[in-house]
Amino acid sequence: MNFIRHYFIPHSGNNHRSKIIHNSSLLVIVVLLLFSSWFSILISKTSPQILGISYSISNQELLIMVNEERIKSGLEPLSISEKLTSAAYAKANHMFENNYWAHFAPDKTSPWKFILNSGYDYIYAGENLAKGFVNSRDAVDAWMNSPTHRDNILSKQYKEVGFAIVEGTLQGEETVLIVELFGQEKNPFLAGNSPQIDAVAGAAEEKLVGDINANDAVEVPLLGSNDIERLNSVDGFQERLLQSKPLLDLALSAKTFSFLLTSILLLAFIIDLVIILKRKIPRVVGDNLDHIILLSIFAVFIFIYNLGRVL
Amino acid sequence: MKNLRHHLSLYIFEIIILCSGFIVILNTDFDFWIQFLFLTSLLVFYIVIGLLRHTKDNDMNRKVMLEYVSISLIIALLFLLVNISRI
Repeated sequence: MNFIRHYFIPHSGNNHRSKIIHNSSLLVIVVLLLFSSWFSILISKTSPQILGISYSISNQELLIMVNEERIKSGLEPLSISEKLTSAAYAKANHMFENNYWAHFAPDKTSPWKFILNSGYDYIYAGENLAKGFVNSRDAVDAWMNSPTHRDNILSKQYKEVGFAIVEGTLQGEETVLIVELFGQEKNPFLAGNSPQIDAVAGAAEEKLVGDINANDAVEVPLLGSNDIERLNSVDGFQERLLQSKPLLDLALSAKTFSFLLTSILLLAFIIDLVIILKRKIPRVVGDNLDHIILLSIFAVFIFIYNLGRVL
Repeated sequence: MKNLRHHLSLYIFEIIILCSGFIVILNTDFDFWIQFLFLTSLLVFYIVIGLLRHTKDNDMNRKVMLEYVSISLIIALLFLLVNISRI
């Protein structure tokens, strides 16, 4: 109790300033943070199995979640295409080899080249990218929260999809990259002069559509608990799960620690401000209100900050 | 609360700049170093505006300066810690 009083309540024993917000304590926190940052970098580089990023992403989960969103919107679920899957892996590997985070490579290679190279002769094609997500749900949610990616997921034009989930170093950052390619293959009975239309999320490229109409939305039953069995029974579907389970999840623990420390300091400044205002004790210290403003905004920022990004 | 009444416009200005700055940081997630540059600029702004107010109130001293710098350093280091996998 005395510890809490000394560190959080201003009184004569701590010179009428909560001990935790004394300059000496703040400097100790700075030094500890410097040390823990250095230590975290060291351990995460040398022993990623102890301190690393925990993630678990599978193409099966992605397919189920994407199809759930389509079904909610009254659309037909997508089926997995092995050709699109191999195109997605080719694209992901190309991104890592050429170190870019974009739909079009620095050498202007388009996503459609990977699709065509895989032997998938498309009428419609689209691409969504994501990196830095630790689970399938967060990635799909981020796509659904972005209007252009959402349009791709909920497009009537697409019948098939392929996912690639690859771990590597992209632009100096250890990350998990997800490439999601959508498509509708040319109907062999209509083959001939069908135009090709492609769309990347964020910068939909529109070549004029010919006479091909997308099928109308159809009613399909909601996915049930036997989804996985049903998906596994689809010809050519092979589950690909990429996961890492270190002893301590670096991203989650750093975020939680940062939020807690910010909240503790914020609480200390608020308690200090309220008590000193009540007691009307004159002091020459930094303005608590200033620190409260900064720490409050930073706490909200840390809370909503996500390392995952979509493109 | 005397401070609040005297410097209300400065506080409002500070809140607007800090909120806008952190929104910019959220939206520049494609490059960690750009984010860090924005954060550093925001923290410099925070120190300058805080010290400016203390100078106006004639209660500026080295301890006050150290307090602002320490808080800013803590914020910068926490941001680094959260982004450690990107460094």
